[in-house]
Amino acid sequence: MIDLIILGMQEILKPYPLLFLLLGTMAGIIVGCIPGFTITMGAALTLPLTFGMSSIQGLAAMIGVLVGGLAGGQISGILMGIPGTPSSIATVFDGHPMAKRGEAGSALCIGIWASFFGGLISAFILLCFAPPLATMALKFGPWEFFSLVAFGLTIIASLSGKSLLKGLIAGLLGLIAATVGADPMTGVLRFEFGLHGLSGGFSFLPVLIGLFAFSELMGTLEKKERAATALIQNPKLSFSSAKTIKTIFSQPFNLLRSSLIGVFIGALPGAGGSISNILSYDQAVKGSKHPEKFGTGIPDGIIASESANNATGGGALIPTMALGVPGDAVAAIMMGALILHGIQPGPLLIVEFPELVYGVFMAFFLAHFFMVGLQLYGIHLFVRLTKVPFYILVPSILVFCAVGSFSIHNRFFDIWVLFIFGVLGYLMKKYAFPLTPMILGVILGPLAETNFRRALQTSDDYTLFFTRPISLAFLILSLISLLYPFYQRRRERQKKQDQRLDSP
Amino acid sequence: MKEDKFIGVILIIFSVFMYTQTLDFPAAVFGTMGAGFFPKILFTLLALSGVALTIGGWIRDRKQAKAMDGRQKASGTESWKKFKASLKDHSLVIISFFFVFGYILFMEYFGYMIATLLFMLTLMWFLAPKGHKGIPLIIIVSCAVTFIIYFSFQELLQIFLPEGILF
Repeated sequence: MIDLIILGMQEILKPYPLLFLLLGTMAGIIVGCIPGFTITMGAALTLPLTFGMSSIQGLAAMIGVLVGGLAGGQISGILMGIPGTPSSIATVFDGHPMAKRGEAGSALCIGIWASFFGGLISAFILLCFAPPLATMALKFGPWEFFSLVAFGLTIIASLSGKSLLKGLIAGLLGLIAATVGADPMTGVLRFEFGLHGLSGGFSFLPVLIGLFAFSELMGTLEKKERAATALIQNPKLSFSSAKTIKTIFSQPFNLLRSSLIGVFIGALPGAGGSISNILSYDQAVKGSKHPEKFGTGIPDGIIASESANNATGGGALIPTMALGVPGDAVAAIMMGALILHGIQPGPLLIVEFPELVYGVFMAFFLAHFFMVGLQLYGIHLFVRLTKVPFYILVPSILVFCAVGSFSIHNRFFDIWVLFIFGVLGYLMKKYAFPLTPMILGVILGPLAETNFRRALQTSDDYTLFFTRPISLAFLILSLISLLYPFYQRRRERQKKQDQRLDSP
Repeated sequence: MKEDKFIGVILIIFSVFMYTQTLDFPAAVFGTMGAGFFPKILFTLLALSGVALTIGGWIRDRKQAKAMDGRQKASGTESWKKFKASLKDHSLVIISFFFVFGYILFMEYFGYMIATLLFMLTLMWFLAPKGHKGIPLIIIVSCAVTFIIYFSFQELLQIFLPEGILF
């Protein structure tokens, strides 16, 4: 493994990749610290820019956005009480009270270093687990690929939000959107309705930007009051890194547990930082000797939340790089970047392009150093950015979306695709349909279909999906992930019943 | 919950329509699967989901109606009023969508430069809170963003932007 690490280092320790990693991290922190702009949006908007770069440069930029974004959300969370990204919701619980007490600087410092260590822990786990997964993937035939994709689809449907049915519908819509265009195996044109533009199918990028960026942007316009929200006046931004690191390491169990939760959730396809920070905070409260102090402004809460969310980034890279199933939405966008550069993500990626995969891992590792440096020294600048009014930001980013969509294939049609999927994405959000399953359907759809048909072409035997052990394992996991939400709901109902019986 | 019923029905109609489209696909040459196989499965599943959604929404509506027995049940005009109110709440969003629609159309005929500049100036002015218009800032940012994007894409990354009649 050491030789692979060296290979990755060689790939990333070059001027341009490092530069783009740095720029990406900076962009990520900026995107992260502005409430209303998600990391996914930032990554989606970075994607068109990577078109002119080499693969490692483009991926480094996006890893930077991911790491920066995960860490940047705490800035507005601590200072304004509004989480910059959903990954920092739990940071607000203890971070904001600390800031109100005049300890804004310490709170931010704790968050920054917790993000750093959480990310490093997950990078280590990433390095240990990705290769074994990949070697197992070498035994994959089309049956295994199909069952893997099915698993990926079911698990994100079940993890995204309250309604499993709506998640599945979103996933189906994504799969359907992917069928438009030429059939990959026979070349028959499907669903083009005589429109020339549709014969090429929907480009992945405008769909992605439309669904995630465009719809979210429109969502921010819902509240008419968009004046800059009150920042804490003259926040005391002094801090001591040495003291902070001591504080963090005085709670090794909290740090380790939170990071592990983050990695695990990240590794689950479809679940990301938005879930892990809350879960980790919850576990920290339950595992603490002084649970009542949470929420008043103690370091424990910030450590739990911020280490978990950065660890999620590393966790998300595991299935993405080793299996070609995205760990979360940002990872899905990274896969899009690979596809843009003509590289097919999947289980063979580590084997065929080890320098790229390990370059990405090393980029993730290094990004955290950039992140710490940028945040510690740039904190005043980032704080100022949170004051930019929305009526300036939103049109600017809309233009960026439009240009980005056009730039991939130089087709005007793609901008219309952006618009249509933007409207669709907005409506889906309004009616509580999760978006992540849809984009995963778009990415995984062609894989699912091609492998299913290839499997049946190779052998007429349908039972092979069940008799081949790896394929069967994934199908069983799919079943579990479909049934798990029901089991969870029953457990919650039991708990509520028990509580009612306990209290008089 | 009412919306669920409508959405469910829309999904069913959509699935049925698209399914009929697949019947035109040429039959398979090798084996049992042609281009229509996978889409047919998807649309069947979607139709079933639509049915489930509709039924679920209907059941929830009835539960709500039973719980509200005795209280005033929403009349037709009340739900129309609610709909109009929600449109008003979302007026910024809806109008912005129209702005973007116009922007894309405009860009197709007049090119990136003019369209983008016009779009940003007008939308920023429209979105800015009354009294706080900050017109100089709007003009500066619109020009800056338009030109920065032009340079980064066209010159640096060598990606060409739409050209219209003028430029």
